[in-house]
Amino acid sequence: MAAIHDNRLPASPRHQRNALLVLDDDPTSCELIAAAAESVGFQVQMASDVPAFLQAYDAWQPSHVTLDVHLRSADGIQVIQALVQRQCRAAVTIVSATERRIREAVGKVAHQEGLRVSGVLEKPIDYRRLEAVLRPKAAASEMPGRPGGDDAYTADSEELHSALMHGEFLPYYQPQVSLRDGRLTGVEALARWRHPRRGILLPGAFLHGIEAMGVMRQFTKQILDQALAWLACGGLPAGVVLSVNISPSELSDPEFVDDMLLRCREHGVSPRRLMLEITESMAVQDQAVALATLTRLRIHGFMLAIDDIGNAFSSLSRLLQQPLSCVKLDHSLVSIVGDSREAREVVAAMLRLGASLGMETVAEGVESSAIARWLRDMGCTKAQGTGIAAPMAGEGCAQWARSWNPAELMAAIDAYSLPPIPHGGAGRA
Amino acid sequence: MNLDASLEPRLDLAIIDQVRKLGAVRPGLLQRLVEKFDDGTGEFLAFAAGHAGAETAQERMRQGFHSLKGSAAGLGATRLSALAWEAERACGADGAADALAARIDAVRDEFAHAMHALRQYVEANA
Repeated sequence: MAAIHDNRLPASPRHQRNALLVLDDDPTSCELIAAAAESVGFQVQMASDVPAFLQAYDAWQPSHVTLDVHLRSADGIQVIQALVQRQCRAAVTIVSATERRIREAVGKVAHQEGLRVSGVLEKPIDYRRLEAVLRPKAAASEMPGRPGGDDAYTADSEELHSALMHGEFLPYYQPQVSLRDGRLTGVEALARWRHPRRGILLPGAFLHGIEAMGVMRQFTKQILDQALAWLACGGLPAGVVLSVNISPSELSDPEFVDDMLLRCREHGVSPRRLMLEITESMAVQDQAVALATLTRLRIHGFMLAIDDIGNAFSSLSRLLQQPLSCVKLDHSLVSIVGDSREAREVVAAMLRLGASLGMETVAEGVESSAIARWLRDMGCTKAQGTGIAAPMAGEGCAQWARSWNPAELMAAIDAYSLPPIPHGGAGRA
Repeated sequence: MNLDASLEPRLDLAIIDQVRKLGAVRPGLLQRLVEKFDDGTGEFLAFAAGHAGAETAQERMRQGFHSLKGSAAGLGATRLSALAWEAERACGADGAADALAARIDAVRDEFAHAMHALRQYVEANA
């Protein structure tokens, strides 16, 4: 079965909302972070050492934490490990005056350990960036077509069963455009839940539960059928591709390929209009069975993309073995190319690899014209991200597609460029 | 804001102005931070000056200069922050006791200038 998702971990329902716990043994930094958070409506508690921090975390269950990396009593990795043991679902922001490489590495460790890393900031703190990582929803709510639901909410199994029965899950669509000429080339379907009381919810509220309940096939059918019906009814101009994500269990399901073909026939949609996205980490599992499934899909005309490249450990040899049409660079990597020299190097290398293998390359997380220009100059062929369009409901996406002006995008791309990143050091210090 | 333009090299006015504005949610924030910064840093630098050659004090000094690097930067004292970073790197370096002592002196001098600038800023914006 195909699953359509973004990679958001579910937040614990016990979490306080808009509650920030600051860990920093420098009282000046601690109070500055606290004041900045309060100025955007957060309740704040501060801790100057790890025992006090963990005690406050356990008792308060904040929705957000900020962590210094260099502490007198411990280092940032030890704190991260303590949070992982607690199955922390708070949004974690690293705030440090330490060397940029170390700061960014701590963020990567936290991400790989499964924490929800919302940002890595240097000192002195750029308060606008701090506000952006604390309140991404506030920023997102200003974007047209963006859902405004409660993303700290996690549903229980009874509610999810009810939602499936009542058909409350639906696809939102995020456009992908060509970086060569700006034209719309595809849209990615992303699952949302139209909750009867909480509004539109993101996958963090339900996807983990859906997987745990073993009802992914039913869930996927609900989403995919709506997406195919929308496509069949002219939701997209001819030639524009619909991308859907596949969950890890799909590739070992012997009925998956036939099921996909049946759905396409029922809706009158050619498989050649579908791009199935598999995640990079998934590509190294169940190799023989998965390869057979993927190859059958390609034989029948489906296109295949490897998703979230750069978000997990790659196996290049296995990547070479997959019958892929496209590689998608992960949001977490693309979105930081403005600030991180390492991210630029890695993305550039991946783009060269994709080009040398004859694949299309799609960058997710394109949030500005300057990033789009840099990607284009590096050879990236397509872009997706809030800088182009946020995910939106079918009707909104169809309207967006009708009014999309590729020339305006190309003019914006030509007008901006990323500044060079200075070498080394600890920020301003 | 009305401030002597000559202070600007010592204080990054964009940073300190932001701190001042945060006083809207925490009244008296800037003044309190400057006072704490003065007390805490003065105490630490006195300790550092007396222990530049002491092997056992290197880690404490490294932590202290690291902390000073962050707190000075947070208050816009960017030159002081940069000097603290150099001192942090000098802590524990082989055969660097003299170099560390020189770094500590430079930090102390700059700290005095930075505090003067911070106090002037606080008075001008009281």
